[in-house]
Amino acid sequence: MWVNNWYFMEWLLVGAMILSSIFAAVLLVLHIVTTMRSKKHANKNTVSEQQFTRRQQTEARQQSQEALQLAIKDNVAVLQRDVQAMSEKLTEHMKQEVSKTLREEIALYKKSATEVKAAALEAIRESTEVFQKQQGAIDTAIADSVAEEKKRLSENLDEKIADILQHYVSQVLEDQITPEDQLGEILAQLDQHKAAIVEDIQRGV
Amino acid sequence: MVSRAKKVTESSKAGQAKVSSGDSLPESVIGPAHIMRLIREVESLEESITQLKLVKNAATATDLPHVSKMLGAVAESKGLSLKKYADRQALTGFLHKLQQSPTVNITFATQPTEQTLRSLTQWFRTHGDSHTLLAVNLQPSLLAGCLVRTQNKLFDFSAQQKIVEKRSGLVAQIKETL
Repeated sequence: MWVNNWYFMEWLLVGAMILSSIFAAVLLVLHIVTTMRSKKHANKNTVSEQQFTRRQQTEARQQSQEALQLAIKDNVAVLQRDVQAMSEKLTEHMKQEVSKTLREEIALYKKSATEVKAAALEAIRESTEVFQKQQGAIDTAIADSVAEEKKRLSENLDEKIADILQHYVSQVLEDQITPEDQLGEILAQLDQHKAAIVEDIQRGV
Repeated sequence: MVSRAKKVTESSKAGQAKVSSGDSLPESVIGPAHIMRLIREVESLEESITQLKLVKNAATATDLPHVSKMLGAVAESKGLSLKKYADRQALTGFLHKLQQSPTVNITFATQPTEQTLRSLTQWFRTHGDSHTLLAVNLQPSLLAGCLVRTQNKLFDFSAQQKIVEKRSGLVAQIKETL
């Protein structure tokens, strides 16, 4: 009995399975058809929606671009104004700073130049004083030396002139003036000193 | 030898007595060198005559050796004969005495001639002593003129002295020029 049941159950199971498979297949076909139909319909809607969305997007994009451009322009204008204002302020500030720095530097330069000029003048004055002192000393030394040399030359001349002249005359005359030429002059001088000569001779006698 | 010396001394004394101190010398006899030369000549003459006497045993006039003109003139000026022994001795004594005569030293720049010296000697013998002798010296630095030195005095008649005397004026002129 049990075996018949088994068979039956087996057959029943197989039949159930076949029936279920057929049902499943029918369901699947239905689903596929339904899906295809829905897909077809959906495709039609999607295209239109897509077309609509594209226009909107384009418009929106354009609008957003325009808005963005406008905003950018506004921002740029604002930025330009700010930058210009800032630039002017910065320029003014820089001018003031530079002028101030320049004035300070010029003042310092003038002060330094004045100090340097004063120091240079002082150095020149000291150098001039030293130079004048040295020049005075040199002038005095030269004058003393010249005077001493003049004196020495004068004394030397006084001492040597007779010798020089005598040497010169002796070289010039040599033997040109002989005692014979001078005899008359010698006799005249003897006559002039006759008394003294004769007295001394006779004293010797 | 002693007797001969005595004889010479006596002869000299006799000659000195014979030669008067006031007699003048010949102009050719100028200085002490001449006197010395004359003394040597007289002595030489005496020696020669003595030798001749020994050789020929005769002292005649023809045997008298040659003598210089100066010696002859001196003997003649004194009236002495060189042939006579006493006169020769007298001349020798006279010449020795002349060595004590006053001598004037006279210095020239160059050598004077004999004539010049005679003229100067004549002046000294005319105005001073008749037996004055001149001792001549040379000193080229005198340039010209002469330097006369008697026994105690010096007389500078040289050009050198004149230059020295006029040195101050010369120096002044040179300084003015400079």
